[in-house]
Amino acid sequence: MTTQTLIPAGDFRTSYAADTTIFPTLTSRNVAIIGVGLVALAPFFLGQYWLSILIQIGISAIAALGLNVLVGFTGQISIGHAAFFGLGAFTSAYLSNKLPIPVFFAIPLSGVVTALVGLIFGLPAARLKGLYLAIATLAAQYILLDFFARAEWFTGGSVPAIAEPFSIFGYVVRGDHSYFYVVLIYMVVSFVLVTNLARTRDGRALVAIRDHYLSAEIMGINLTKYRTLSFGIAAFFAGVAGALYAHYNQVVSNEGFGVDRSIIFLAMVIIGGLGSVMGTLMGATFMVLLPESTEWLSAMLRGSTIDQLLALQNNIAFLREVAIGFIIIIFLMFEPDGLAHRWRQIKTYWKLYPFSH
Amino acid sequence: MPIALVFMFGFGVAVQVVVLRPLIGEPIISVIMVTIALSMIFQAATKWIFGVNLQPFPQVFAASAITLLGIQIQTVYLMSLAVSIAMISGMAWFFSASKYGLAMRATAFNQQVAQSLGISVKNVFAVAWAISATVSTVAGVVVAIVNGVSAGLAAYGIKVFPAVILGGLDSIGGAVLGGIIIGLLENISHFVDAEYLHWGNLYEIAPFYVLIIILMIKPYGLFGTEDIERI
Repeated sequence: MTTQTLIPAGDFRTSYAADTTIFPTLTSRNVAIIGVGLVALAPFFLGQYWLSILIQIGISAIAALGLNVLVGFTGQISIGHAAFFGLGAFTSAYLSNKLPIPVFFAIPLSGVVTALVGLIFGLPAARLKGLYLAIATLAAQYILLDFFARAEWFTGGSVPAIAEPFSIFGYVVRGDHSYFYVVLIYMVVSFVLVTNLARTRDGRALVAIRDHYLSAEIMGINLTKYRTLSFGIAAFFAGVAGALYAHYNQVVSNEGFGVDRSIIFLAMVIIGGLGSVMGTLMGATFMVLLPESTEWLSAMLRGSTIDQLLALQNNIAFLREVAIGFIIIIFLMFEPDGLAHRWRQIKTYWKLYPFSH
Repeated sequence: MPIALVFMFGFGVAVQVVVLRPLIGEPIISVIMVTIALSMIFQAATKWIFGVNLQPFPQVFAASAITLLGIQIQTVYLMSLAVSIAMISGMAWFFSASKYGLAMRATAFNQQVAQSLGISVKNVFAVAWAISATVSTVAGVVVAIVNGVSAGLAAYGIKVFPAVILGGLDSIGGAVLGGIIIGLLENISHFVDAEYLHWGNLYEIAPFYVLIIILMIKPYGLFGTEDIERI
């Protein structure tokens, strides 16, 4: 009898460890590493404008990732995420400016502070469901915004707070080129953290609560603990992202942390795909590029007949809002599972090509 | 005004059929997101079409003041009150006695059971949207008569939520009481703020604090039915 090596057919795993690795195949790991490497080369090829867009994508992706833990993993709703984003920005500015804490530590620290505040707001939210929860988080949003306007010792009131530039070991990071790497490192670390979270008991507990909270409770999962925890995690990432945003702009004003930004974060998560880590990145990319592309479109149409007919020039801000709202609706109607789902479909299609079954 | 009402009725149905019908069965977060996106579109479109300035509303009621119990009251306010009461009692009748109202409540309770009992869930949602569009048009007109028309009217949308949630989602009485509480609370806190505290802007934020506290004690609002679930 000749010995022959059997090549396993199909995709199967024989141990739990193999089933819960971050990367299901060697190729996917290599692709991810090469992808990050390629992005790291971006500052050498791209101009100022594109770099700033990439930085915005990175910052938004971190914040949206936190929201995805809350909305996608745990199945909670939050329309107050931007307030935590703002809180992180102000905290980091305060810590680095008023207290002798270097920016390097101020960013994670402001994440922790925001997480604590998030836990406080998560506590009442843990009992609520559906629309009640949505409105409670809306209330949290308004209360925090009111706090920003009121606490002048903390935020500077109507005068924007100054955030020091990022520095490490006395080397001050200036300009988009260097700051890009700061954001990239934070983004990669956050994504690895959340991917790992999904593999732990805690992460699976969150998903169990989303899928059927009664069964989860019967299985011995503490609902209040994990719901509050997921608010804390979401707030943590929002805080870190906010801090990065603060040190990127180096000024933090009271504007721009309103409900509309919360909505944009939510749109990123939904468009990317609820509960999908990579989808969050796609959604963030999409939502950052969307307003920019309306800008390009209007620049392209400038002076043409359509422009004169609709008087676009003066109404471009309204047009942009209409476009964003429209695209979100189209997306939810035709792609309710998000970009991540579509990506998986494309992948399977090419894997099985030309035999689709 | 009747034209506006008819138009909004049709518009509500149209929005439901085009945008929300495909979403039946999707998670609630998607529905919330879609409605928020709709509100973005409508707000921007309103500003685009009508401009951002305050516009006077043509007089529907004669503007005169009458004296009631020694207080001068503009008839406009009285008429608004009458309209509100008429609307509320109409709604109360609709939901407690009429066949369609009951079908709606059944659908809200459990879509699948309602469907198996022969209720057309699609139609119920369409009618619900039509009613809510029409009723909020009436409310918009009432507010417009009192305060004038501008795109800023949409800010009332944000105030509506605390009122409804405070009272409990499925209770008309709760919604009325919630509205009264939020309205009173705003004015009382404005008074307290102006007279004693001088913190500024307290009236905008006080309802939200109260909302959070009440939801901590009663997670389904003051009069909302508690969801009792079985496995």
